[in-house]
Amino acid sequence: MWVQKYRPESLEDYRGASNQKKELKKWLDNWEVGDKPILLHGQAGTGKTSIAEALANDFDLELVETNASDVRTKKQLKEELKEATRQASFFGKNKLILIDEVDGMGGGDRGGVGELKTIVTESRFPVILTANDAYDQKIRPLRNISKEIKLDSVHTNSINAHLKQVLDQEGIDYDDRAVKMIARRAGGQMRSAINDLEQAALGRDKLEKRHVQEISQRDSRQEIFDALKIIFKTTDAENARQASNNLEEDAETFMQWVRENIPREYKKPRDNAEAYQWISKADLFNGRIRKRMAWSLMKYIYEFSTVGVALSKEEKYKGWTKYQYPSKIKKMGSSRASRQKMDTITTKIGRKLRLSKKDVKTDLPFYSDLIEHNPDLKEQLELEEDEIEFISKF
Amino acid sequence: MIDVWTEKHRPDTLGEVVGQDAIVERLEAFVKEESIPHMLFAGPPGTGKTTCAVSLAKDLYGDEWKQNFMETNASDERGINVVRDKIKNFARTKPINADYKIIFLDEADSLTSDAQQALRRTMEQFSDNCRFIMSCNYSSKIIDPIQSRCAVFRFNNLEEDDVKQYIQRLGKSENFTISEDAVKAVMRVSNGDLRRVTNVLQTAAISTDEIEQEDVYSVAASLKPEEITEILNQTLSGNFLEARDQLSDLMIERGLDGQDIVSSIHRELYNLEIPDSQKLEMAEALGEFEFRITEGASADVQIEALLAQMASLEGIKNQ
Repeated sequence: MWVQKYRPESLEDYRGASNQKKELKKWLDNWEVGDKPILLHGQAGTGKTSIAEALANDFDLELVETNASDVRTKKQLKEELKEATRQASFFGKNKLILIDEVDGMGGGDRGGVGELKTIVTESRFPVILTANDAYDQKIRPLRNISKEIKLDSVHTNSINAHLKQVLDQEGIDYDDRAVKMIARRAGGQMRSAINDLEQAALGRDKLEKRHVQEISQRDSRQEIFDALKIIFKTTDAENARQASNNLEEDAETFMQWVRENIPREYKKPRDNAEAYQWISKADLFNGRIRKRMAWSLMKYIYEFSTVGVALSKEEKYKGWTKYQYPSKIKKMGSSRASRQKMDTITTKIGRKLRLSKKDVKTDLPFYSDLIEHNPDLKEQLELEEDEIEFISKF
Repeated sequence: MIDVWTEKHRPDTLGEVVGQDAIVERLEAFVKEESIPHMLFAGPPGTGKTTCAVSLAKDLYGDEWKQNFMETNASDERGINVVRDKIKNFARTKPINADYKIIFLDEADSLTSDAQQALRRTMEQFSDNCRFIMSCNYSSKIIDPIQSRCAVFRFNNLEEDDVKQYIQRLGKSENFTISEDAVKAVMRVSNGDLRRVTNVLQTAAISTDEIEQEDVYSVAASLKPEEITEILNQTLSGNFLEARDQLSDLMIERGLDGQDIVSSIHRELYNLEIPDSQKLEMAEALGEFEFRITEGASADVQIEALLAQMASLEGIKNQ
């Protein structure tokens, strides 16, 4: 696997994240028993594990690794990890303890977080914890005792350069545009970029654009929640634009998802207002498309809902947001009955009073008042009991 | 008889129509000559378009008016085909004691221009035994080929004197008195729309038979959805999510018309406790969003965007 083969040996080989690398070096250089562990976090595929491995290499430490796939019950942690954090290395080296994906501890890891906290604070060796989401409630006790370092998603240019380096080393020729395509599609995730590259280029003499297009057709669909996360958390236009790729939802539904969740993520009114401006424009284009069958305008609905909304924030919001299903779609479904009733009532009254349904709707508070004070109207307008009740709410 | 004054006091003859003297005079002449052209009535709501059409039919046909007159509301019918079928069925039978029947097509400007083209063919097809009267708010929304086949009558907002006389007449038959100030207040809240005038007075008369200025204003306030004020206040006190929720209840679950809500917000804007310059800023934003709705955007999204804008005004407290 190329992902393994081309892991950075040294921090030097790891592209980007220069501040984070500096911080890690400084932390390890000065580490003493009792110092805080590092909580290294960032979205999947940003190279959290790789950077820890490279760090161990550079400092000539034995890396003791445990990750989410291991069961991490209290008992097991006690038996295995505790030993590792206490005993000197077999090989006479110092150790670096890497506890991967701590936010991935499932329900089966009962008591695990508490035990982990004790082990980490008592460790004789430096500890790095990694997490996709540092703000997961489950790992709050760990976050509180750690020094946080965040890895941002990898810039497309860095991915691009790294992919080319891999191809050079593999001796595979390439079309620049093909490589760029893979880099773009990766959405800031180095790991998936390398996986895609391997899939498209392995065993070929030259990587062409069509090879990349072939694999993208087999790509699994992007989940809507992932798309929202990218839009709301990124400030990079390119990343945001990718978010709507391969979605199952149509443009309008997608826009409703974004709209629903803007105020849930963007707490600053200014950010919220600006993001809404973009949704307003996306909605305007949706109207134009419907009116004139101008399907070529569809791309703007996506663009405004992704890039427009993403760039509306002054800075990223920390923390995890619970994204929700669009309430408009929910309400449209559940309110069908009441909208039908509204239609029957306004038609009935409209016929009796020579008004359009719209006129009746506008004046419903008036009819509500009248009917309340004059029960005869119920019969005169031929309204049923349930219809009277409906009107009385206005 | 229906106890809704707009219908109860709708005139039975052209002679009783409030205002629009020049138009009424022409229509009476048509009746006298028993020669009716196709007609287009254009003008704002509550100025007597429907009333004139119905009164003309009553004057022309007498007791047989119902058999010879059909009214249909274009904005209620789903598509031109429904209208065509309805017209065909009505036109198929012979007029009773008359040369032709009258088809009154209310709110014809809500038909798309394609539907209007189809309507024009229908008009030609049945012009032997049918006359068409169409009403609209703006004649510019009616395609030229139809306009050119019609005598166009422009209904203006009613004169203050006409409305005053009407109010006095109404007071006599419904047993209420009304002060001078109250009449002025009615004029102000109704913009010369006689249906609004009548509705406001009927509501006021529920609780008093001596109507004063305050009665009029409190009634006018009660006749608009009070939730709008509540929604705007929620927005201004930083509860955007709450305001958004109420708005969608109002629009989606209760099905209120987006245009009505926009108008209510516009009216409320100047009562809000924000600096005047911000009121103007909001009016400008509202104008843009309203325009987008006419361009095909959806009202709920656009109004929500306005609330978001309002919530971000400087000096608004936040959660």
